[in-house]
Amino acid sequence: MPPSDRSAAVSAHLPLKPTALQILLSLAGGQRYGYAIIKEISQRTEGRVELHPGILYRFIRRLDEGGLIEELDHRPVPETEDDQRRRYYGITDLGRRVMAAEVERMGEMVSWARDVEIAS
Amino acid sequence: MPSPSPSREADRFPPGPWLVAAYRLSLRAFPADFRAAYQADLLQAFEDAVRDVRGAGTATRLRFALRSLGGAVRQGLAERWGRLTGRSGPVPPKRPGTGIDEASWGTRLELALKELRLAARSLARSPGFSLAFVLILGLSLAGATTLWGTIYHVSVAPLGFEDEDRLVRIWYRTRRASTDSDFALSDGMLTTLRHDAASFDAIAHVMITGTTTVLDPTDGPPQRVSRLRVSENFFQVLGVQPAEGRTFGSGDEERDVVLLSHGAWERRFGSSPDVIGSALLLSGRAHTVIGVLPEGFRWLDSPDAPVELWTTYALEPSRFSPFYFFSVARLRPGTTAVAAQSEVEALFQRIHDEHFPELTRRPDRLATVRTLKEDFLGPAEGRIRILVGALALVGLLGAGNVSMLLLIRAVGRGRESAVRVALGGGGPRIAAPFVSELVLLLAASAVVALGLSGLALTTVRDYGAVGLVRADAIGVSPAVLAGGLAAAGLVAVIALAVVALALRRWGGRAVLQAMADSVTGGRLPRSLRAPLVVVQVSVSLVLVAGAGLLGRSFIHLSTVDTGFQTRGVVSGHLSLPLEPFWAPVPEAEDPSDPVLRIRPELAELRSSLRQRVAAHPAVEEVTLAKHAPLSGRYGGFTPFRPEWYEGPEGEMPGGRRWITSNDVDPDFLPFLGAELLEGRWLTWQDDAEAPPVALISEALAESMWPDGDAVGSRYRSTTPRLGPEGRVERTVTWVTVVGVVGSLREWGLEQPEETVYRPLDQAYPTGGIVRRSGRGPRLRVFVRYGDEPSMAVAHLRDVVAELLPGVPLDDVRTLDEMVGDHLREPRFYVTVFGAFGILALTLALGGIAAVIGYGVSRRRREIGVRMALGAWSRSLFRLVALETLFLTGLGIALGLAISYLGGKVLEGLVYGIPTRDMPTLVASAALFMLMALLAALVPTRRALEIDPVRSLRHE
Repeated sequence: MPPSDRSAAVSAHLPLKPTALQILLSLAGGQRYGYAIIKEISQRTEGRVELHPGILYRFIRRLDEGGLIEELDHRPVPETEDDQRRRYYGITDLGRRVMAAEVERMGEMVSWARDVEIAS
Repeated sequence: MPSPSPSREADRFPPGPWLVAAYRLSLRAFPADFRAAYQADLLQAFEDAVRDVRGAGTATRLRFALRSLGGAVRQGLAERWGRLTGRSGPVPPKRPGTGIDEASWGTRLELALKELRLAARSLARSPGFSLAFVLILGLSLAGATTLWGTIYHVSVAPLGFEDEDRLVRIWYRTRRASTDSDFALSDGMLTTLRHDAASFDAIAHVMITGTTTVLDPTDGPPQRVSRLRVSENFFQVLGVQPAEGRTFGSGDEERDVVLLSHGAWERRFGSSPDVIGSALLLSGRAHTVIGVLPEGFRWLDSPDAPVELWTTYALEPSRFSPFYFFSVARLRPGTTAVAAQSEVEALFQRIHDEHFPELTRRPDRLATVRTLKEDFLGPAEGRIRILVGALALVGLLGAGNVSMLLLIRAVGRGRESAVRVALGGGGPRIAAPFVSELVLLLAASAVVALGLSGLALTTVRDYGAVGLVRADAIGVSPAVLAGGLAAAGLVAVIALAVVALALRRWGGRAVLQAMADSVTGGRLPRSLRAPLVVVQVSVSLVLVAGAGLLGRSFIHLSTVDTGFQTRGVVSGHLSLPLEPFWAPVPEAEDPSDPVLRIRPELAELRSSLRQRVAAHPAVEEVTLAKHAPLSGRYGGFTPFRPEWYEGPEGEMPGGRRWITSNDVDPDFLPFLGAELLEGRWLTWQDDAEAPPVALISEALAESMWPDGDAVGSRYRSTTPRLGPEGRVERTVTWVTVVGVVGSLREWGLEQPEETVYRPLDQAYPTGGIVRRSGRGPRLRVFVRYGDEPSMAVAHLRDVVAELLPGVPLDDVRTLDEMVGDHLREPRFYVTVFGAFGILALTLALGGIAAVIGYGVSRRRREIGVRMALGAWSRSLFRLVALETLFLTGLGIALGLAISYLGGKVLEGLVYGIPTRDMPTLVASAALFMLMALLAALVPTRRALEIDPVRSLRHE
């Protein structure tokens, strides 16, 4: 998974909306169900990003349709401990590549900005 | 625990099941397929979140609840919006072959064009439907646009002055008869305000009426032009910049200077810039032209006669009556009209105590300050609100009818929709044909509406709204077009919503089901079309009943007994110059209270006017008075106090107040055909030497002498006299009431007026003193003509030109025309409501016919079967007519209830009958029922002509 992956399949998804990137980052850290994604993002960003379930699932639908994430057939946690209704999601290979490309794109952006000394 | 999961949930979640229910409800903002996929997850996440905030404080939980519900609605709508606009969010849609957006837009456009072509072809196949749709929608859109165009130009559009929110008008409010009225201001009031009122940057004055002035050009005959006199700061206060030269400035009130209106400059001076600086001879006085006003400048005090020349007028600071001036003031920045009003109130209080001590009856307040726009356009506001109501109703009717037609269309296309569903088309694929047909039909209707409303607006401007403020501006303008477009958009949205609702209920298999049901008439569509008919009938009944009420009121008003005969009388107004009728009084010492002496020339003029005018075969009779009846605010007023009243202030019945007054020749009232109820007429013996006498109107006699002893009683009047050492004194004179006449309509047609009539000889006695005003005496000549007014008027003009060279005869009108002027506004509203009543009736009947016709066509088989089994025509008629009667009856009941409850809205517009006039309501309902049955007749006849054999083969 080279960081300079700019294949057509990847660049079609760029740039990513910040929310989409957050969701991909969250799933890159492990398979999760909806509310767990919200909690993880909230904790990681120290409460600066609080997603409403509505917007979360709007993005999940699109990321799913775009093939960046997928719904899991198996459950990572034993059935008994968990509610029947929960659906778990994981990041796909394409999702990882898009995420990496987006992070790199943003990194480039930051370094260009530093070059003209508007950020430090 | 006996109950299943819901109550377990309620135990688990402190906010209770209502919050979950509310959340579930707000999730409905999402599209259905989204909910199908994610509703369970969304609810799960919500439950998780609820668990997390369980321990938190009430405020946090409340915030959480609001955020959850609000967020769900917002996200749901955003999802729908995203799909509508084709922006599907973070990930571009997977569409094989087209990776880039432009191509997808191109494809979309292509598809849309294809749908439009299909729609056009399918519409062409059913010309009846298309025509009906375009006509109905075109008519209602034209109606809405016309109403809006009228409302906008009469009431909404800005006046066009600089920073016009700060422009206000100040009124002196006083008690006239039993109501409080706003009066114009006097010289002294304006001067006091200018000195002492801190709320205003500047106060300008403008005379309440313009005059006709004779303009003597260097070549050619004298011309009559209208002139208005204003203060030197008038145009500065309004912020009007000249088109040429300059406007008035400081010192111009002392100079003879004149400004030209743009129209006068074009017509009379060929737009020549050389006119600036030249001299104009106005009624014998040379005035220097200093400038030309801009083209768009419009002054609304005299909507009928545009002012051509503007000159200045300097106030007499010591005069506190009469009230000859309207004011225009610019509020100091940061001050409101309300604040200004309380300041002016205090100042008027002072003036009132000092100068009108005899007026004890106080109105609710003494000052009114309102913005200029409100002042000009406010009087029509109540009526405008009603027009807006009519506008909404007409729009509603149009939308209702259009939805009904579309629904009928949708059912007609049930088979095609079913095929589309069967082939895997989703909601949008079913909706597409309707949307594209609607787009085409809307476009066609808009074209029809534009043409019709342009025509209608021109008609309203030229005939309907004559005399309404700013009526001449009515026409198609960008704002009007925007309004029309908005109306069309609204109609489209409503119609689409109704159709979408129907499609959702029928969608897919249900459409097939509905077709299968068609043998029995189909249950689903009926649940939708029944309310449509009921609402339509009720709405149009409200309009028809309103039109009926206004119509009856108008008939009342136009046949009201004015108290005088109007036929065959023409009159003209003379504004006499000071010289030679009033002479300065050198011995009067006090320069702050200037007076003039009445010279014998005035009495001589009156007598020779009467003789010379009468000496023509076209003239049957002639008489003189100061004012005409129905002069209203422009007439005369006098403070009135009967002799019997000596008690404390404010206890007199009706109170002491301003009373309408007129000074007349003794034969004036008999000339007008007034009725003498008691006592005697005024006579020529009631001259300056005789004791002062007056006739009073019945209304005044009733309120001041309720015991019927008015004749022989006296009331108090004050007359200025020149005392010793040249001081002006007010002396009290007691005027004897010698007769009571039937009340004349002096103010408006609505109510009889309390009026005092005094002989001109006593009001203007030769050698008497009058306080100086800028004007000379005013007189009105009344002539009864035989057959042709024009001969009499020509003769009258000749006599005036001979006796008073340079003095124009103004405002020449017949009494019929004067009464007609008071009927203009009611006529306008009757016409508007009548037209919309007819439109509404047509729309509703069209709707009824369409629904019944639809019912018949859907029951072809049933009817055919019944006929084959030998059913009578009559029972078949009952089958069809019953539905009409039932639905119309429901609508009528609802409409009557609305009309009855909403009748109050028409208060002030309806005269002579109650606003809940039962006969009108019942008549409207009966008319409606009759028309509905007629409308049902056509489709019913069609049903009776059904050939059983063919109808059974029909499907």
